[in-house]
Amino acid sequence: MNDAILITIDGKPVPAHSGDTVFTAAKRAGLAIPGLCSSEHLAPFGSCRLCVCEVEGQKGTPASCTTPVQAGMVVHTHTDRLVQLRRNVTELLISEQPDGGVLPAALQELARSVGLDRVRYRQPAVRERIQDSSNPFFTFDNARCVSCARCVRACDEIQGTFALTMAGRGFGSRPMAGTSCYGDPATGFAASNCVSCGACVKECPTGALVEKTVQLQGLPRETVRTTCAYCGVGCTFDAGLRDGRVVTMVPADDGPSNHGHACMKGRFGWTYIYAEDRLTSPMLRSGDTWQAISWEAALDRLAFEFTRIKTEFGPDALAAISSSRGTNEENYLFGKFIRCVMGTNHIDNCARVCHSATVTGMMETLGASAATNAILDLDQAKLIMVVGANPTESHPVVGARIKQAHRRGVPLIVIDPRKTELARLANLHLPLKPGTNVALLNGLGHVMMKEGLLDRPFIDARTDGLDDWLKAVEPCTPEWTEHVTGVPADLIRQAARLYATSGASLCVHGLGMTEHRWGSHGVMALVDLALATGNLGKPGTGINPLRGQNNVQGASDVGCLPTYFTGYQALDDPALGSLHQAVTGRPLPTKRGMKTPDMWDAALAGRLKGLWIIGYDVAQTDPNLRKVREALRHIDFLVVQDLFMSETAKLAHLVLPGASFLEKDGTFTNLERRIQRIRKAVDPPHGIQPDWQVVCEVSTRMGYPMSYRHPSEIMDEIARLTPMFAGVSYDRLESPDGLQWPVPEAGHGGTALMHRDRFPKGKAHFVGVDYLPPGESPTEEYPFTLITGRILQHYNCGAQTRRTDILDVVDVDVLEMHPEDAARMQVAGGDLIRLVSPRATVLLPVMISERVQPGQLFTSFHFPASDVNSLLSSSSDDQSRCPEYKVSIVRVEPVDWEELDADDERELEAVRVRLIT
Amino acid sequence: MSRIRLYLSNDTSSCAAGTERLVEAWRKRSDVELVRTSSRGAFFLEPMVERESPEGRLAWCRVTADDLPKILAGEGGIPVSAIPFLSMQTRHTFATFGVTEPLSVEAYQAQGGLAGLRAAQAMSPPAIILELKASRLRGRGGAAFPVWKKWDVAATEEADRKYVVANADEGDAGTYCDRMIMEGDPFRLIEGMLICARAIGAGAGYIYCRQEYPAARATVQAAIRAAGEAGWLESGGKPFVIEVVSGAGSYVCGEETALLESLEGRRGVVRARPPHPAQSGLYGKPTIVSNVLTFATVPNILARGGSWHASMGTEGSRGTAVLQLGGRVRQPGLIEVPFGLTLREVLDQFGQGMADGARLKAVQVGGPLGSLFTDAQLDIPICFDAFAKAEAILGHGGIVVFDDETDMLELSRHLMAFVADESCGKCVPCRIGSLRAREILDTIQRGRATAADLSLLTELGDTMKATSLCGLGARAPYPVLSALEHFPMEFHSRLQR
Amino acid sequence: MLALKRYAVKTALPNGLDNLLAHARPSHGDPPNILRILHAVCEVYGYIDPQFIPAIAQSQGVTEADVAGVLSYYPSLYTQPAGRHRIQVCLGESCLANRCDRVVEAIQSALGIPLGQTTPDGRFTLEPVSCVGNCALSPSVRIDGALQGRVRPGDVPRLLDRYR
Ligand SMILES: Nc1nc2c(c(=O)[nH]1)N[C@H]1C(S)=C(S)[C@@H](COP(=O)(O)OP(=O)(O)OC[C@H]3O[C@@H](n4cnc5c(=O)[nH]c(N)nc54)[C@H](O)[C@@H]3O)O[C@H]1N2
Ligand SMILES: Nc1nc2c(c(=O)[nH]1)N[C@H]1C(S)=C(S)[C@@H](COP(=O)(O)OP(=O)(O)OC[C@H]3O[C@@H](n4cnc5c(=O)[nH]c(N)nc54)[C@H](O)[C@@H]3O)O[C@H]1N2
Ligand SMILES: Cc1cc2nc3c(=O)[nH]c(=O)nc-3n(C[C@H](O)[C@H](O)[C@H](O)COP(=O)(O)O)c2cc1C
Ligand code: SF4
Ligand code: SF4
Ligand code: SF4
Ligand code: SF4
Ligand code: SF4
Ligand code: FES
Ligand code: FES
Ligand SMILES: [Mo]
Repeated sequence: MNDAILITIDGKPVPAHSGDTVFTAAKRAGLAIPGLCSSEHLAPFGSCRLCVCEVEGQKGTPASCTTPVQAGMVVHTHTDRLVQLRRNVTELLISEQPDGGVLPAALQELARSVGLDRVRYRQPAVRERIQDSSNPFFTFDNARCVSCARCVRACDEIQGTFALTMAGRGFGSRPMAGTSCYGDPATGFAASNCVSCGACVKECPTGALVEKTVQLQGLPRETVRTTCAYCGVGCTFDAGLRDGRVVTMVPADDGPSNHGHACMKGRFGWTYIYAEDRLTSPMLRSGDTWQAISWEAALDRLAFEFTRIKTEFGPDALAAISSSRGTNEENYLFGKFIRCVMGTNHIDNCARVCHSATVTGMMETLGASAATNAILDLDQAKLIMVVGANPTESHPVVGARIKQAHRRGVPLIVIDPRKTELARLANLHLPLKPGTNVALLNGLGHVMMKEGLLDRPFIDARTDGLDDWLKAVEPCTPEWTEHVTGVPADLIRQAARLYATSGASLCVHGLGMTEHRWGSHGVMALVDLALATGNLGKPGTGINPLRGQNNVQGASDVGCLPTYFTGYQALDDPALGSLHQAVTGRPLPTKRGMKTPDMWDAALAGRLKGLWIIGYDVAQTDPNLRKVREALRHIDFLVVQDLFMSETAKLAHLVLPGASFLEKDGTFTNLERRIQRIRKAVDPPHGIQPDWQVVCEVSTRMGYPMSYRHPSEIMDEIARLTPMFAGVSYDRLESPDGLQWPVPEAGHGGTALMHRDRFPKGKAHFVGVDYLPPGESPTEEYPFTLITGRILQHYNCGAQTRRTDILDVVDVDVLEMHPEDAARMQVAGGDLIRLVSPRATVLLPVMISERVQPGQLFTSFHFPASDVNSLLSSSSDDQSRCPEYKVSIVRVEPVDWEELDADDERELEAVRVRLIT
Repeated sequence: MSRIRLYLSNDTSSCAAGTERLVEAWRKRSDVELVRTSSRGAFFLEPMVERESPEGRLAWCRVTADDLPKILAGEGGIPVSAIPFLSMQTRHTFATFGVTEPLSVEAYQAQGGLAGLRAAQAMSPPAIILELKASRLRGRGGAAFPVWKKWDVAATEEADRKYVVANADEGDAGTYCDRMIMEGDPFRLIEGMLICARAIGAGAGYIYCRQEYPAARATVQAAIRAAGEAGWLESGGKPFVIEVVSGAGSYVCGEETALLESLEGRRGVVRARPPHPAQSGLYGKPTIVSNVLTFATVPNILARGGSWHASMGTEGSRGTAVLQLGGRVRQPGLIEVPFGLTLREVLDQFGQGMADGARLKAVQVGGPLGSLFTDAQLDIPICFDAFAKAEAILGHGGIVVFDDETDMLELSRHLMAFVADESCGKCVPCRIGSLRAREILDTIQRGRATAADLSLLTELGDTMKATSLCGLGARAPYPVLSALEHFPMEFHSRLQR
Repeated sequence: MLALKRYAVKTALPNGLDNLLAHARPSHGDPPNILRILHAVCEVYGYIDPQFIPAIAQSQGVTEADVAGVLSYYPSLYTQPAGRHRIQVCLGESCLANRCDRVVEAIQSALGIPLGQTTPDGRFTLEPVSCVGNCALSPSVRIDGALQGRVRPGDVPRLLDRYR
């Protein structure tokens, strides 16, 4: 790809490499050739014919965007002849624009550049007037379109959703969504399988596809580079501003993890920052009534109550739960507060309920818990194995990249009970019974062992403990595994061979691995496979947890864990202790703190009196909600800091408003360990202070002054205390690429690929684990297994996405049920049913879906009204206490309308109406 | 009593001319045996009935059912060898037409079929390509690209799969030789494809046949079955599967990249090149797309040697030209002659002048995208290079003769409307330009156009030629502009005053 | 309610279509082929009702847009039922040179419909075609697959009578 080639364009020497076209080489050299249909994100197409060129020694005027460079070629792009041709092509393009409309800016600019002042065709036929505003976020206006098909190609080549096509042919050919040329052209997008990723809108050169926010408020006048605050992919965006308001969020082409792509939530789901019910001032509750109070009063009160509790009951009566949605700096400061001011390690974050099992599993085997490879390595992989993750919905930009790889022919294995989008595409889909990961992974290991597929040199050089693993997988024959997991033995054999022999097998995994009774074991069993086949420490391989929240990686990295200090440093390390003392002036508490579920037990037991929760809606998203709410009610003084009056906030004594990611500076660390900047684009409303400033204020009031002028100073402090961040500083983070930790010293370029030559412990460690059944298994009374997880459109507790137009797309949690079960139970799509677990009862509408297997049900947990998590038990992974969200036993009952009280009925009717209309 | 064996062509055109009616009428008779053969291509004589005689086949022409007694009596038949239209030709690819039964494996071999494939099987793949190089065969589908070069590219490309695709879309109005081959000598096409498969290492073949040719599709399908049963369908020791795929009424799907899209089941939209299909074609694999006639020409080359083929024709165009004469000529039909005869010679010697009373006005060669020739230009030799020099195309060898009643403005409008209808819609100059050109011609017809519109038409034509992505848009202006050049008054006289 | 719609498939399909689609399902690893399945449906039902698109898309594992795009591209994939007899008149250049326009006029006036339409009684559909490879016997007319060559305007009544 990089063999340097020199060509001459318009008399200038232009360096190029094989793979370049004349167009791309010219562009890189800053020589602009006009063109509408080409894009750096799309394969050469050659439809607009504006980029014509002349090549010396060749006949004709080929399109430069489809002409590969050849050493020594001499190209002209602006001869009189070419300009005339271009003018005539432009004239054709403009001739089809309907009269009376405003010419798209791109065409105006073209006309100007080629000197076209009028169209000579008389009464030419023009484009059909078709508008499609059915997508909540953008519109299509055929009148402004030039049929370049960039949108269609974006949907195919970038997003892999194929929601668009060109319709018809000849003059009338135009893009359309779904099948709308046979129905109502105005509803194409809404009726199609479009996932509103916005790639088509971004590629559109004319504004025929345009954001509704731009239509309403105009094009942005300036942009601020920042990072998406939803999921762990960490897409880079340019926030477009106009008149002090955000009007667009456009994914940046030089974004290191997204390369110009995005998903619905990041691209369009940011408007919650302007939601009417955003918290604007601190609120104090007495009984059932809320009272807005001043910031001064609120901070004083908080400091007072916490001081009181500490004095009365000691440091261990206080705890904090930090937000994985917040910045590294905020998280670090919150940890510093709990350790230096409160004097305890009772701090946790939502990593607990998410990838804590990954942390324990990978720590024990590899000695480091983060993704071993970079997202970009998906392009190097020769096989991709997705275990218990649904990236096309949960990490859509990574999902799209996996789809792209698969389209290039890279084989895909998916291990998931559900037929997710990737499972449908996969070469092999292993639909295991929920909770049987260890059995299946050991079964794969058994085949590898028996068939001599192990990478002995790697094992010898880089690992120890092999025998432990061999012993564990020995009894797991394919037939035994089939019996336990339900996956046909033959599929198991095929998958084992594919994974072991591809040459570079890359694993991504998600909550289907971790949120189990034996989640840590599952992760170990997975790491064992990678170790056994040498799929670690090389490009295109690795074990890559798809960390969930935008900054869940960072929150844990900077020490919001009860068991580790920043950088996963042991709390009882004396050297660290003295450094901590030197930097912070306070001792580092060495006793391990409570994990979130322990906090609930402590609260119920009356041991925990004060709790400060930032940006985490435990009262909706933790399992066994009745217990959690009960525990929260037991707390003497509960402080919740959030953007909205969340379910948890409703139980608080004091609620503090928070500033959103668009309103503050800081850094997030994405799922590939990449530390990236967020930048303040707009002021927070109503003088709201970012979370970190609130922490400083309270700390200061409690006698430990914290004063930082800017989050960069906090990062400097983190770097001093944390070897793996030693080389991180804000000036280095100005680079669009950010930095991937470990960054052990100032000049270090960061680490894209971990464990290249050695593991943190020297050698990696095989840990043999035996299969153990999940916490609950179906019984006669509760015959169904309920899986919970996410859908593309909404985000976790939904506080943010439910306050955007995403609600037009999905406005309710639904229960997915296999058609066979539905037929047996005589329920139809849209029916409301009652879901009963040993803990609680909830009502949900049913969707008939072949994504789930018979006997299994799936639902999301994004709407407080559905109260799904009250069904779940407190069962959790032994080692990490990661909750068993993925396996609960339930039964399904028809809803008997007579039984309902009036309130229920009204609410249900509302749900039903929303559902059916 | 032995029955008298009569030969009647089973070709679609022969049937349309009436052979089918003859068969219907005579089918039940016990004194005749009807044998259905391929057609000799002298369609002006169809329906034609032949029987054996000591001087070779005798033919009865333009036969009606009532002529049977005469035929049985042997009255009035003329020796086929005495039909000048046929005897003046140099038939190689079409040598056995009118003689053999299309689906008879034995007859095919008896007439020398399979000799090419056997020869190829005795050669290494590079040697086959060298033989083609020596033959100097150029593709017959329109672009006239040296066949060996394409095969060489596909042969050297590394890939797990390669394909051979016969372009049987034969979209040009006025052409029918591919149809005749598929209906009349399908094994020759299959043999050519097998030789190609061996040369490049392909494992599967497709024949993309236009939907308007149901009989050709059925015959080729039957031939594939028969060839399979005869054990011919293998290449490099592995089975070689050939599938017949039907088009769906799109002219651009004859363009090789659009054809591949269509073969993959998608919209038949042209792909930008490079990569060329020989590098990356069907499903991204190296693929040879060649015309049916091209494939059918290959077996003889392997059987008789490349130099044999190179010994015929002109400097740049070796071998025989297969021309299809249509329109207002007296003797329309298929003509195979060495390259080099002039257009006038072809029209005079084979066409025998115009149909009753008509006077020649213009000749279009090479289908709807081909240039128009006037009487004064007919001395151009039939050869790729002479045509290229005249900015004309031989295309697929279709020659349509228009008489003096033809309205050249209407003809131009008709041709441009065809392009506008058939444009795949991908590139701007063709998608919009062809419609604009048609609109201008409409305006002239309505008497509303000015001289400025005519010069705009010329400039538009120039832009389409220079900037269109494929031959449809790039060639579309030629017939119109050549009509304008040769018959300016027919345009100017209709301008607004 | 996109999430619901996305997985709700079933529309009422005509008899046998289910079966036909099930048989046309590409086996695992084989690429889908939209044109082929559309041809097959068209062959059996005479046309492709756009209502079938979701089922067709599902059978091939492609999106509805993909199917609609292909369907809308090819002129001979009919989306409406035709008359009982399909009359195709060639408008190719050889036929044009031999005055097919007059044949078209004759048929149009005999049927009372323009090109591209179906008679009100549903008996005939008249449509243009550009070359059927019968150029040596121009003009050409094809009725239900039966090809006629050297057709003169005067032949039209006799030709049509056979289908009345
Ligand atoms: N749209 C959207 N994106 C999000 C979020 C969101 O709420 N909405 N949340 C973010 C957060 S916090 C996280 S942690 C990530 C989570 O992202 P994912 O890890 O993708 O999370 P889930 O969808 O909960 O579960 C993944 C898959 O595990 C499967 N599974 C269930 N049980 C088993 C099992 O026993 N074995 C195996 N192998 N698989 C099983 C499920 O069927 C499901 O498809 O997503 C992040 N991204
Ligand atoms: N049934 C079931 N339940 C689950 C899961 C499951 O798979 N199944 N998954 C679990 C997982 S993995 C996770 S991570 C949790 C996530 O659950 P949560 O963390 O509770 O959910 P989020 O929606 O991410 O956000 C929490 C809150 O943070 C607020 N917020 C956002 N940004 C900021 C900010 O900058 N400052 C402040 N102060 N507040 C902010 C939001 O308004 C929101 O109220 O859910 C868990 N719950
Ligand atoms: C608009 C258009 C239509 C074409 N139609 C045909 C066709 O019907 N048959 C054909 O063999 N080639 C056709 N071609 C040429 C093919 O693209 C290609 O050059 C040819 O099939 C190669 O075969 P050959 O090497 O045997 O000539 C067409 C080209 C264009 C631009
Ligand atoms: S052909 Fe068109 S798209 Fe390609 S760049 Fe050139 S100008 Fe465009
Ligand atoms: S928004 Fe995304 S999924 Fe929807 S049509 Fe555009 S590219 Fe396709
Ligand atoms: S909508 Fe935009 S991107 Fe799509 S074809 Fe039209 S101009 Fe091109
Ligand atoms: S993929 Fe994740 S980080 Fe990227 S835009 Fe979507 S939610 Fe934001
Ligand atoms: S010239 Fe016409 S047919 Fe060819 S690619 Fe362009 S639009 Fe399509
Ligand atoms: S043939 Fe080269 S661009 Fe069309
Ligand atoms: S032009 Fe009419 S059949 Fe060929
Ligand atoms: Mo999470």
